[in-house]
Amino acid sequence: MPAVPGPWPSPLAYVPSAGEFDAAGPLTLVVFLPLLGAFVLALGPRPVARVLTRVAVLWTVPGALFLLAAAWFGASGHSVAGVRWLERLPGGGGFVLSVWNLVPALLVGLTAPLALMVEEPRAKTRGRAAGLLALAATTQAAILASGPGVCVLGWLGGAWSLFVLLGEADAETQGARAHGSFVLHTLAASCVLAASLAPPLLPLLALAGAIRLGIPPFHGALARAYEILPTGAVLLMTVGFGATGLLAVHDGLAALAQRGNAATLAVGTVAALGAAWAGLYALPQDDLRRRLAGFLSAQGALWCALLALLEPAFARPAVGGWALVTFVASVSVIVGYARLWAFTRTGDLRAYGGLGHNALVRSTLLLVALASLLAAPFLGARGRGAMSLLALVRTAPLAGLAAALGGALGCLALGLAIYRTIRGRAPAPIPAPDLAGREWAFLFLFAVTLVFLSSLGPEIGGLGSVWPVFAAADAP
Amino acid sequence: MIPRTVLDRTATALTFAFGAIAIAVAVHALGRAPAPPTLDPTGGFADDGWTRACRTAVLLVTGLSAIGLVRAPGLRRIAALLALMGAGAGVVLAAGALELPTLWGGIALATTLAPLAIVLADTRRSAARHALTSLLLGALACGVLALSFLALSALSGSTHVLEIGFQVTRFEDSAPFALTALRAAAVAVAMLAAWAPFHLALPELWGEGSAPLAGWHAVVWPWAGWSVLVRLSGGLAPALEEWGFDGVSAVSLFLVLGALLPGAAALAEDRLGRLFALLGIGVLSELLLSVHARGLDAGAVASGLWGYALAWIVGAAALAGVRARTGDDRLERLLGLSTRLPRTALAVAVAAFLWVGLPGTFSLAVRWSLWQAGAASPLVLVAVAGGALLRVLAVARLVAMLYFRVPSGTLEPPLVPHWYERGRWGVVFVAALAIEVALALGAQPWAGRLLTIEPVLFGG
Repeated sequence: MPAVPGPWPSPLAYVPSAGEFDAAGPLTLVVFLPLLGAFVLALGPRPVARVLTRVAVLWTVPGALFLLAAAWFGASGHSVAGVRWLERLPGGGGFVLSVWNLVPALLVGLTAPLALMVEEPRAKTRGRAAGLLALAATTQAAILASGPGVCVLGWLGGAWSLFVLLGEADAETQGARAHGSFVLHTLAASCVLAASLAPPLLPLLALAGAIRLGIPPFHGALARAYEILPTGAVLLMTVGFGATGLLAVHDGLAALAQRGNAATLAVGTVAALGAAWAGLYALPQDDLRRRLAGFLSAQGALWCALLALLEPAFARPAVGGWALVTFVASVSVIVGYARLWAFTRTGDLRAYGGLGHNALVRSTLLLVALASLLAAPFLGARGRGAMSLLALVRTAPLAGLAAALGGALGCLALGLAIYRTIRGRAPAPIPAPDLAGREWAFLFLFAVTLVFLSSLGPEIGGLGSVWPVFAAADAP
Repeated sequence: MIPRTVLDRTATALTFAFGAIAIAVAVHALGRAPAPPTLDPTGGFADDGWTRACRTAVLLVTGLSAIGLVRAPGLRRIAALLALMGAGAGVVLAAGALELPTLWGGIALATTLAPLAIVLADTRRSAARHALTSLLLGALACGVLALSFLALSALSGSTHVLEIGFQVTRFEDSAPFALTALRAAAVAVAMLAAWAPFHLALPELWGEGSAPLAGWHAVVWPWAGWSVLVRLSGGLAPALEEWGFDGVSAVSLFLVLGALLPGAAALAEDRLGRLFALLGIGVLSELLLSVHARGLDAGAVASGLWGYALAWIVGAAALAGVRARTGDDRLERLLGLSTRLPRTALAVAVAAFLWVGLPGTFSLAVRWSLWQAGAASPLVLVAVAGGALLRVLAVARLVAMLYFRVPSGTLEPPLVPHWYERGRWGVVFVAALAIEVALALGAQPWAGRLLTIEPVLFGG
């Protein structure tokens, strides 16, 4: 386990001494300002609800700006101590921002305003805006937590936010479809709680992470959640739950590895077969959101297999870089589809088509995002993702081929969906289908962010260096 | 002949005045500077951290219950208050007692007078059943305690708990008998402190009864039960050390059952009051994590009981509000309550969240400390986490009923109680919640006094 806290590599490993903390400040603001916004939206008077809902994004902007500034000025230091920010909360617990969790925190921080601005199939309500703010805040709490208490609360708060968002979105069946996902994500939070109570229970983190990543047998629940949730919540889930889930899987497997290779071998083999199953599951889905969820499930299972079956020092940088590119490209896919979802109000693939004819720029965005997803193993961590997959095939052929098949089938499923969206003629003409001004702004900001991330030094966690830094710091 | 209205108003004024004074005295006691523990000249009573914490809690809860006594008219209300005061005095007596007869006497007084208060203060037919249940449960606990205390005093030749700890080991083969007596005492404590499987009768008593009386029982009886355990474990510490007794293993069954069973039962509950009672019992069972190999951490128990009491006060106030606005607390009548009575629904949801752990509240902070300090085995900790999961699911079911369901079209319009009745539970709810948050933020000196009690006397 690393000697510096931060959920990206390790949520429960080490709590800094009290003297290292400063009073509550910007990090507290990153978490509590959106939470305050959620309370104001939920409890505010009815006459001003519409105004509050429209300006809900403002609650997330200061946090995003602070994280950008921290990354910018931290990057100029080019050292491990470039960013190390510890804050304590008045009631106990605290937050930490370090090179180890800066990149996922920054990604969630940038995704939060996007989640509140993106077009939705249904009219925006204050309940949904409050749920999105709470989801962003609790995800940040899980990432920035300096100790197990805040980390557990972040995970549990994420499950509750999801419950509210699912229940609000599933009004037709009186919220009945919210229960399955909530039960699973509460189970995940309970696993984190149990792991925080006693070191022998740390392997339960792998189960918690598997639930968040949607690794089989939890892929169905992830697909159902993606199908029901508002687009903004899908964005936050993809980035936030993906990052925290991957972290938990990594830590759980690291704890499991200390008990011998047999357990990790079994988990890795099951995960590899699960990747193949998730890929097969994604392929016949006729709902675009379910395909995206299936693709992410297959990727998650593939990463889990790599982490379990390969040497940690080799697998960590590979998986970290690969996952980072995948999250960023998935956000682009979701943003590219948001307006289409908002218009058709369904994820059914039969409602899509002909985008290449009437929205060339949007089609290009989707194709570039797909190309990024396909090239993620080569882009992230300087190609270590692809190398690690080859190594897995060489050392454990059955598991390696199953994992590779799963990843390929997931990519094929998403690629075919995008192809179907672009080719042919539109079943129903979409008004102003090409990128709007707001989406152009997103494109610009996201491109800047990508360039910024890729330009960061290894200490700060550039695109190819999140995990190598961790590995270096972990070394004696 | 004094007119009835005059009697009613006089009784109201008296009970309200007593309640306000009791609460003020309790708050003042919490704010006082710490003092070293003292023994009375006979050595039979200890005025230490546990006694003071218990006395303050009983004063506070009795004061709140006095303010909430509205169902009984005139003299019955005063009689009910006197019965509650007597029962509370019994608990305080037991908390400080170092002699076994006094310890037993205090518990007996509490378990006899408290059921009497139920029938005096609540004129509904169901109150008699609740009083009988309470009386039988208390009598059973007192009977078991009497047998246990007789055995311990016979084996040691003394009735003073500190002497028993040294003298009970004078016979080489006394250990099995003494430990059996101790386990029997733990069973009696389980009845008072609602450890599973003795939780079965309590949801009816705590969940269906009048909110202030049910709340008094739910908060004060566990203090009584834990007082027995604190005094016995403190006095018997030398003997437990010599016998190599493992307290953690001894209570692990109670802990596992207490964590899981109430949570599972709460999932199928159809009344809000009983649901809150089951959630509370689950939280109460977690206090067993404070038991260590050779005794227990009285400070952790006291702060845990304080957090539990605050959560119960918030829940009782929300429950009283729901009953006053909708007529009863069946969950089927609460479907879609958020659209009809948004503030009442929010109060219920907040109270339910307190039982599963609301961030930024004192009750969660003390539970977290307890979990972190617990010396139980990983399997037991998994059960504790599993119990927490079950309670979260039960609360999620309630929240879904309040917020995601469409209200039934045949429901009667909500009742409109008097402003002063609404104010009564509204003020208690807001005040208790504000205190929860203030204590979590470390409002001194109260937070310090609740988190760390003054030293407790023990043998050895």
